[in-house]
Amino acid sequence: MSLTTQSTPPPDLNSAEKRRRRLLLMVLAGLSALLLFVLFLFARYLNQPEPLPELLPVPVEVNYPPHYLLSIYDVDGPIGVAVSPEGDRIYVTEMRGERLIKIFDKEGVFLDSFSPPRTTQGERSPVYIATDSRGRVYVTDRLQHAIFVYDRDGNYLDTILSPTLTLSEYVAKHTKTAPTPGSFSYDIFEEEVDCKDAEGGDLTLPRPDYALWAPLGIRFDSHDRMLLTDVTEDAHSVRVVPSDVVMSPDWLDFDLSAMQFGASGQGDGQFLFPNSAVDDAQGRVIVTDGNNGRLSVWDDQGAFLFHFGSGSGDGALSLPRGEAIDGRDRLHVVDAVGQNIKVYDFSGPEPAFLFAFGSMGVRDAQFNYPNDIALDDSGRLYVTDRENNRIQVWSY
Amino acid sequence: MKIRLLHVIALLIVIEMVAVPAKADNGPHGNYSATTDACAGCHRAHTALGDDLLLAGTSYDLCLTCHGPAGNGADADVMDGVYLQRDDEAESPAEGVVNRGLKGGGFVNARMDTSWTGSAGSAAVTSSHLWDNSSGIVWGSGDIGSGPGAGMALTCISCHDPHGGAGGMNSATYRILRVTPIGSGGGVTVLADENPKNYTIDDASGKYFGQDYDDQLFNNIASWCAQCHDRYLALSGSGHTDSGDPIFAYRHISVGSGCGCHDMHGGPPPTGNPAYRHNPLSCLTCHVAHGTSATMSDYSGSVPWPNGATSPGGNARSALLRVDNRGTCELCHDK
Repeated sequence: MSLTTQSTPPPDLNSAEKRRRRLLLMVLAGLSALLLFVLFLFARYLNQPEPLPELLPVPVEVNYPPHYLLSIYDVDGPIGVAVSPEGDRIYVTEMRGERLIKIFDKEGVFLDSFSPPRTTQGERSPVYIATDSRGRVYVTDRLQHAIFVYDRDGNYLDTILSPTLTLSEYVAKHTKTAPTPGSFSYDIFEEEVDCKDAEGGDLTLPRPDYALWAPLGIRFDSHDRMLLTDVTEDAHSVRVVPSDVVMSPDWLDFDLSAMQFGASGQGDGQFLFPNSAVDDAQGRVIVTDGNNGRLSVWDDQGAFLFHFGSGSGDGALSLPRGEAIDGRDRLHVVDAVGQNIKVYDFSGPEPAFLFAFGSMGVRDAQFNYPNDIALDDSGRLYVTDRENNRIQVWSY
Repeated sequence: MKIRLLHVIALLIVIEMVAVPAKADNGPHGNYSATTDACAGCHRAHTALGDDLLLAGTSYDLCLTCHGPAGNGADADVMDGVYLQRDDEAESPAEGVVNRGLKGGGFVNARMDTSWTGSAGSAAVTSSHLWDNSSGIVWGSGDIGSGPGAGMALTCISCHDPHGGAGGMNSATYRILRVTPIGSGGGVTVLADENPKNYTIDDASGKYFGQDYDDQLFNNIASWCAQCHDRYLALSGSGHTDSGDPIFAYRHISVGSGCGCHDMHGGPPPTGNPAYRHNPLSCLTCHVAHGTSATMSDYSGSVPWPNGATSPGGNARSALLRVDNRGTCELCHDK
């Protein structure tokens, strides 16, 4: 007799049960992955609190005011603010103290400071500041009547002396060679330009002779165009400079005069101390018309369209200064006397007031004469809070 | 044809007259119409969060929002004591220069030639009137025998009327000065605005002494200052006449002409610098209103204050003077 053993046959699973178990396994794996992701976000948030749009880069379509995040101190009378193209650096100009331009990282850690070459505290007055897509930093200076240009680390590169003259161009005309950026210097209170000759030796040139202007507000749009306000006496205006001028390899044939519009006054198409200009997705240029207490809107050819925001009531402006527009055409305007930021929807043919945030005071989320605003791509807003000596960081 | 041409020229003149820039007695500082929108820019009638029905904040911070170094709301930078544009009323040739010193000096920096070398430079002020609502002693305030002076807090609007209509009938006064400074007990009726306006000193090199002022203003400004600094108001002869005050007994003339001293005493004609010796005198002859960068050496820097204190001394003792040390004495008296 043969002995045979019979093992227990495996349960006969039908295919439906197999599918069910496989599905359950997949769901379990998915839930585990989700749990791990949530734990990761939680741990990251605990380590470094950041707003949700930065943790989850998904577009937020709801129009609600941003919330206060933190303040950056170690600034004295901050006036202008800009963010590097990468969003990793914040540049701030000071109205008081040494009147420096200070660099902070995204968390508010001071990195460095710089100022126009050869100038003392009483010879410079940096106001508005902007960065182009190459990361170059542009600073308007009221006392110097010029725009100083630096690299992203604050190393001096050049000076825009007038709408048709840069300092590098002036030096090149005398030395017959293109100078190395930053190898020259001049300030308006001096009679001489210091530079290098073709052989690299020290050279002194007479002060350049040019028509003085008064550049004030400066911004760059997404097409690398420079939008500049000019408060030259009796000739307040806005300039829109094509990108090929700004982005040319050198500035030896410089000319900002392509498009200029506006005049001094209180009527249509006139400004009193325009502080900044930005453009929306429709190509309209929106100007904060400071002392007229309104926004002035122009078409892409420099023709006046309409005024907006004067008077009283919701959305009415007192003293509009710096402004910034986000990817959804929401215009953020700093109201220096209103002590808040007013936000308007410029996505349609008619602008509409959305909301305001901030109030007067010295506590978190309160302002004491704010002046300028910058946005980054992650939904952060940086506001110069002048009399509270800080930069407030808000986030959507 | 000629008549049409005249009409065109007249029209252009009218247009030019209408397109005047905003300066101290207009823009946000006056010329309000019956339906003006300007009030809502700074005030709320029932929901104000700041003093004086200001929308929010303090008045001096509001002033600095335009008149600070950023210059993003005005061309007169009172902190640095400069006019950021060329002052076309003061400049010749017309293209002029920018950043010329304001007649009043500055509150943080002043661009002056206090050393009388012929070259102006920006330097930190050594003394200034207060402007941020902090308190100090108003030297010489009060009646004869009332001590060195009373304490008072000062801010921009203590002296200036931001609405610009202090001259009555909504007319402007010189630098929109109030008829009566807040906290004083006086009242000077006429401080006429100048026409044309001239915000900056006459001398491109920054020499602040010997500046030319409107005669009417020059005559009245000493009385205006004396609404607070009562006992500094001294007529001709006060240097030889005891006022009866134990501190301010004999005082240099601060209003009128110094020639009267010599006439009264029957002495020889006045000596001194012929450029100045016959000029009328006023507070503004020797002092600036906002702040000076003048420096003081040994004697000048150690002169006791009217209350007998010797500290702070040195440059802090510059007393708003227009020239280093006692240059204001020597430039006139030429000793």
